[in-house]
Amino acid sequence: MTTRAEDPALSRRQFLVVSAASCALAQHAAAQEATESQALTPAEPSLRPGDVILSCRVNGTPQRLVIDPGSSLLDVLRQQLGLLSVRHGCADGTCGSCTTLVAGKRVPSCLTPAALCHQQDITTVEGLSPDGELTPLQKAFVRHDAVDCGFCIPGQLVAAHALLQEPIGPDPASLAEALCGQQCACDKLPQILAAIASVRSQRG
Amino acid sequence: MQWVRAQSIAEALSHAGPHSRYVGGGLSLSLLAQRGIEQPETLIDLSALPLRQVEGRQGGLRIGAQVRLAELATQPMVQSLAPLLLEIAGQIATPALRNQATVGGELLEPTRCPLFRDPSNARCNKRSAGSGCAVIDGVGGPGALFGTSASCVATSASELAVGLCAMSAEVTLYSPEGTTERSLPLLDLYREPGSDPSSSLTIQRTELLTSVTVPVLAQQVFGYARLAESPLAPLASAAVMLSVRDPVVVDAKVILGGLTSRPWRAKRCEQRIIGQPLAAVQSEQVVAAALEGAQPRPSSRPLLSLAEQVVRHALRRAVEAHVAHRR
Repeated sequence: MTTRAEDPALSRRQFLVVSAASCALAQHAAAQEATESQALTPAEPSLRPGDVILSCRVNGTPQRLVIDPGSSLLDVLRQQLGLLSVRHGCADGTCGSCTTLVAGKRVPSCLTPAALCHQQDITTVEGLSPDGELTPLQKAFVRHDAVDCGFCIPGQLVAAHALLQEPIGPDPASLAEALCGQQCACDKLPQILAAIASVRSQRG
Repeated sequence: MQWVRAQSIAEALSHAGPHSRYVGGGLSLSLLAQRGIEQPETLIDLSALPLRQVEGRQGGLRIGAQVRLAELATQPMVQSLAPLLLEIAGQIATPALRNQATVGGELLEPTRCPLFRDPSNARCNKRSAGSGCAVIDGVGGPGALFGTSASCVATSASELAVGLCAMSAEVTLYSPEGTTERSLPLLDLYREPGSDPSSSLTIQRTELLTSVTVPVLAQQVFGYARLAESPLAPLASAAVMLSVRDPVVVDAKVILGGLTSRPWRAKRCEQRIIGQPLAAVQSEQVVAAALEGAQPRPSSRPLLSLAEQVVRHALRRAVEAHVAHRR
């Protein structure tokens, strides 16, 4: 399956053209590009110089995407696959709201070049519960009142899912350390940590 | 812009040029490119190269440049032969960043000087020669204490380098011009800004760093300390190597990081330790000697006490490591 829901390079180019001096030329160029983009059938995207093919699995579904070499994984997940659970937060890798699993490891998708994820398994919060049922972690987040505005929660859940498989000491300080880099502007980190700890203790 | 998935070192080198960048984990490159500070034309993806192993080598370690920091921080051979590296790697940035960050990328990490990384700041001699330095003018950030110049006070970012320089590590480099590898002491990879702060490195950007070689000597013990206010980078750090033939210290290395323009060898401090009994290592004269050569400015003067604290702590931990080692 190939998807090209939105083309950031195209919209960037349109913006540049529209802001140029000649408005008439701009309208002409934009119209022409719009026609070109309509001509792209979803199954057979045409490659422009520099375009990169990204073959990967996203939440279990094989994808073959045409991406800009400068795109971050965050850009591709949000703009080309419409996975808006992956948040655009600080854009410097420190807030954790875009945390995504690549090959089972949590990474900041805002600073991870999408092209590096070629032939990798990518998982967002949607992929943690493919049947739509709440996972034990999600239920624990609800039970511990760990969700306020909700902005950071997809990243928190992805990070929590990953850290349960990491070699982390049994004490609360080690758990808090493992959640370093996952910020919550609503100050729900104590509840989030309690929720993760409860799932961890159930698993023994 | 084009993306090249290099299948061999030779292929990676063949694409290197004035506007190319090698991509390890891609983190800092992404950040700087998103801000328009880096404008690469060719991105050379190193992920297919066989550079992700840690190998034992003549009693030491050879660490591939593509090894992730999270892998280094949990690697059994690193744990037994170079626990200092395990400790440092496990504290860098955040767990998610450590999963993506590579050893090579961390060693070559561009400065975290906030005004270098702020595209709205036009006054940065490192980015644009002759434009000035907003930090020297007192805008934001204390700047470095050691190894600064009249044109740049940017701090070096690599924390692994602080420990690896104390371990006398070497890096292996390939250049597009030559076909054979060369090795370089890691300490010689970094330079002070002087009158040309454009690069913090002594190598060309077309050169490819493929591995780090770490000698492991039985009689050496290490101590490391850092003070951090954010997870991203320590404010000040120090690594100490002591080689003791009881009761005398026969060799020592003292490396400062965080508030230095490059991993900073405190030679006067080392001279004060070598030949002295172990008991003298933690004296205040030794700590003071580590700070000789500091160039405090009004904004960075308060960092002197932080530098003292990390040096004192690292010296103490090295002595403790020796005592534990002897048992």
